[in-house]
This record gives sequence, structure tokens and C-alpha cells, in this order.
Amino acid sequence: MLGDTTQPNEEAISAIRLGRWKLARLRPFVVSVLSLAGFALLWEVFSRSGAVNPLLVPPPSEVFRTIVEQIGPGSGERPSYLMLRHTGATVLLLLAGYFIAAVAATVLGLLMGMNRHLYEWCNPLISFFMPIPTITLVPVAILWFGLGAYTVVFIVIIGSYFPIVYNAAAGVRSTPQKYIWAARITGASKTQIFFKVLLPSTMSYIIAGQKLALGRAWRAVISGEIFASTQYGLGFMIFDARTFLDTETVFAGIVIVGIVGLVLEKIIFRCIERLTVDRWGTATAKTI
Amino acid sequence: MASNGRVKIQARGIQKTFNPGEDGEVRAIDRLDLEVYEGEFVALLGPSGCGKSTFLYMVAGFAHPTQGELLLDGKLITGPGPDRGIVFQEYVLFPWRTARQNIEFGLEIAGVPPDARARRFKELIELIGLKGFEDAYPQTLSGGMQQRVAIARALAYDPDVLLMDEPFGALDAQTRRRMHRDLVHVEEATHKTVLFVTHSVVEALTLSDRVFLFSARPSVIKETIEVDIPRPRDVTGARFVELERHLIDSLDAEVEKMMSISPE
Repeated sequence: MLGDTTQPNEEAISAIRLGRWKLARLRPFVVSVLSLAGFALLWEVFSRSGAVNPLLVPPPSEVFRTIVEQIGPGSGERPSYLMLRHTGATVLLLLAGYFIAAVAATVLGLLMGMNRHLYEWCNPLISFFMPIPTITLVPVAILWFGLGAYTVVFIVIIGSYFPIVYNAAAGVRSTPQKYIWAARITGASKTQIFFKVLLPSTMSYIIAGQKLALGRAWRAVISGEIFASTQYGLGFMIFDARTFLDTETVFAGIVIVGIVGLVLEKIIFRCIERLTVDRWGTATAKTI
Repeated sequence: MASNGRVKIQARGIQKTFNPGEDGEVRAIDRLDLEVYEGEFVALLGPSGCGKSTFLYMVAGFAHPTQGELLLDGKLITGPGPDRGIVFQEYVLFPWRTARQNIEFGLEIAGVPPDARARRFKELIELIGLKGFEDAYPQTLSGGMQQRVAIARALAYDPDVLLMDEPFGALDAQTRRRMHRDLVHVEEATHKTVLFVTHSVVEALTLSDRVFLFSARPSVIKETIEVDIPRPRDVTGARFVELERHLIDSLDAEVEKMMSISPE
């Protein structure tokens, strides 16, 4: 359009604009980092100021040192890669419980969405159980399954089950009638309609439910471990360290729990959403 | 788009009542008798809420008459089937499928192999004018383009009958005129039997061989107009204006009646 009359000025201006644009995109990230770093710095000063007992409120630098130390090789009584073992154990229990719930709950949710009677019978139960904090069931689970992995997995299943059922059912029920009609007129069978229309149309709801469920599963696994784990797991590590007044390990555990939770919730699901609902423009409003 | 005189769709004494015997009972269609010939383009014109879309959905097989018989090729319509294609006002494309995947949906269902699907797809984008948008997702397309995809999707598996439910109602006036021209072209190339629901008199007269004017609810066919104007039609031509004047008066009387039933 401009041809050879383009002025060098304009390029310079657009380069600056581009720079600004990039900066604007980075801004939220930079602010996040600064916010966390600022908080840590304030804490560091507070902890070392003498106003509190550093044994109870350890400075972040010490917590960080503990994390690095425990990720690395062992020394004395501490086995090698201890932090990784704890984290690995927790993630394993989380995934075991979460996948069982994800499959079972998605199936039930889809069926409820398709069958009005099933929906009417199951919905009151879900409405009752969903708001109960999962930790409430830990004592019962210990009585049923004893201390150990079964109890933790059970708690994770219960924690993640209901949001998945609820969202999958809601997704099916909110599939526009005309999608179904548009498929039926081509002669599509019920199975074809299910896989080619109902399931993809429900995808944004399913993803929203899974995301919510994974967040709840993460909380559940930690609380389950605090009470029911006997050797490994971040929850166990935190609770165990407390007995020895090892607050640096307690806080190290909290930081790791925060980081892993962030990775699970923000990063994994962002990728799934980019590939599906963002592209289709069907993303639903975020649930919590 | 002249018809060969063979009856394609026949409605005999169709009555449709919603929630019969309940509080919210509404009789949408009182008694409907009509015949549509093979290859004919008919407009179903009427005030909003008069039951013309309901009738279209019954032909599609999505709904069933409370009384009366609805025949396609002499056989009772019992449900939807690939001898019919449908285009909705809101496009109703599958957002998780690209334009190509939407258009090929019916072919997939029919079990057409991928290479044959690709050939058919090429024909359709030529016919409908969709070049360059093949792999776009619906949400990135304009309303007009989305409706082109929807028309191509309905034509893909070559149904005999094309059912169109106010397909251009959501488009701006310019796009709509363009779509009219292109639809006339598509109809000349394919000779489908078309049932076209509209509440626009100009649209009905521009496109159709015959116009069925629906009365206010509960609907009957108030009158049937033969549009004896050669195509392409000039909306300012004397005969066009004459028919338009007549239909507007007749339609307005029904709109008045509808207003007194439901204050919308």
C-alpha cells in the first residue's frame, strides 16, 4: 500500500511499538515475580529483625537452603534426594486418585447429563457431598483403610469426584438442541452423536470440572498425607518435621506444595485449553 | 428451478398443539394443507411465532404433528434423515470443527471415504464461495461466511430437500442481498426442493416460486402466491412491487392479530 514511499521513521516507530507491546505482554509476569520476591524480602527482614523467634519463623533464605540441600545427595541420617522422594510419593498418590476419579466421574456425569432420571436421583447426593470439606472424611478413611496409601488415594478420589460429575452433567445438559438436530438430520446414530457432537460440545465443561477437581485433589492429598502417611509424601514430611521443631523443613514443604500446585493448575491446564476450547471459542466462565 | 409437477412434500390436515391438556397449552398450527413439488423453491412467510418454523421442524422430523399426516415422497415422516438438509438462523456450526470438517460432517456419517469427501468438499467450496476459509474455525468467520459453511454442510451429502429456517435473518442487509444472489445460483445448479422460512416479504418474493402465507396463531395457510416473475428479479419491477404491496398488507393484518394474542 505504501510501496517505496515508506519513511524510515515509520519503521523505527513500529519497532518501538513492538518493543512496548512485548514489554506489555511480559508485564504481568514481571509483576508476579516482583510481588513474590518482595514478599520474601519483607519476611527475611522481619525474621532477622529480632522481633520474632527465627526458629518459629525461619527466614526464606534458610528455607531455600533447606530445599536445595534436601533435593541434593544425602548426608548423615538423611537419604539422598529426600525432597524428590517426598514430592514423587505425593504426586503419585495424587495422580492415582485423580485418574480413578476423572474416569469414573466423567462417565457418571455424562450419563447423568443424558438421562433425566439418573440426574434427578444423583443430583441431590452430589449437592450434599460436594460442599463437605474432604478432610472431614480422613478419620473415617483411616478407620476403613488404615494408615497408608489407600486412605490417601481414597481421600483424593472423594475430593476430586464431585466437581467432575457436576460439570460433565451440566455440560451435556447445556448442549444446544440444535447441535443434536444438525447431526440427526444427517442420519447420525446415537453413538455417532455421542462421540462427534455431545462429547466435544461438553469439552469446555469437562475441562473446567477437571481443573477444579485437580485443585481439590491437590489439597486432599496433602491433608490425607498429614494424617495417614507413614513414610513419604510432602504432607507427611511437613507434619513429621513439626515434631522435631524443624520449621525450615516445614516451610520448605509448604513452598514445594505451592509450586507443584501452581504447575498442576496453571500450566498443564493452560496447555489443554489452548489446544481445545480457546481455539473453538467455547471456553466457559472459570469456576472458582 | 421449475418443478416437474411431482409432489415432494405433502401436508394433510396438520395440527400442532404444544403441551396439550396442560395449563400452557398452545395451538400453534390449526389446520395445514399444502403440497410442495419436486425442485420447487417455496417460502413460508408469516408473522413471528405463527408456527412456520414449527412446521419446518416437523418436515425435518424433529417434531411431530399432533394430528394430520406429513408425507415426503408419499411416505410418512417419522424422524430426521439424510434425504433432508437443514440450515438454521443461528448457523449452528460445530465450533470444534473447522469449516472443512463441518462441511464434511454428513459425509463422515454416511461413511464416505476421505478422498471422496475431499472431492465433494472442493465442489462445494466452488459452489458456495468459500475459498481461503477451508481450515478456519467458525468463531473466526463472519456471519455471512458461517452461513455459507452451514449451507455447504447441508448440501454436502446431496439431500433432496433443503430446509432453511430464516437463514439470513441475522445478517446485515448487504450481506443478505449477496446471499440471495448466491442462493439463487446454488438452486439453479442443484435443483433442490427448498422450504424457506422467512418473515421478510422481499426475501420471499426474491427467492421463491411460491409463497405460502401463514396466518396468525393458530396457523392456517391464509393464501398462496405464485411468483410469476423471471429471475434474476428486480425488486423495483412493477409486478414485484405489486405482489409486495399485496403481501405486506396481508401479512400486516396477521401481525396485528398476533400482537393481540401475545404482547411481544
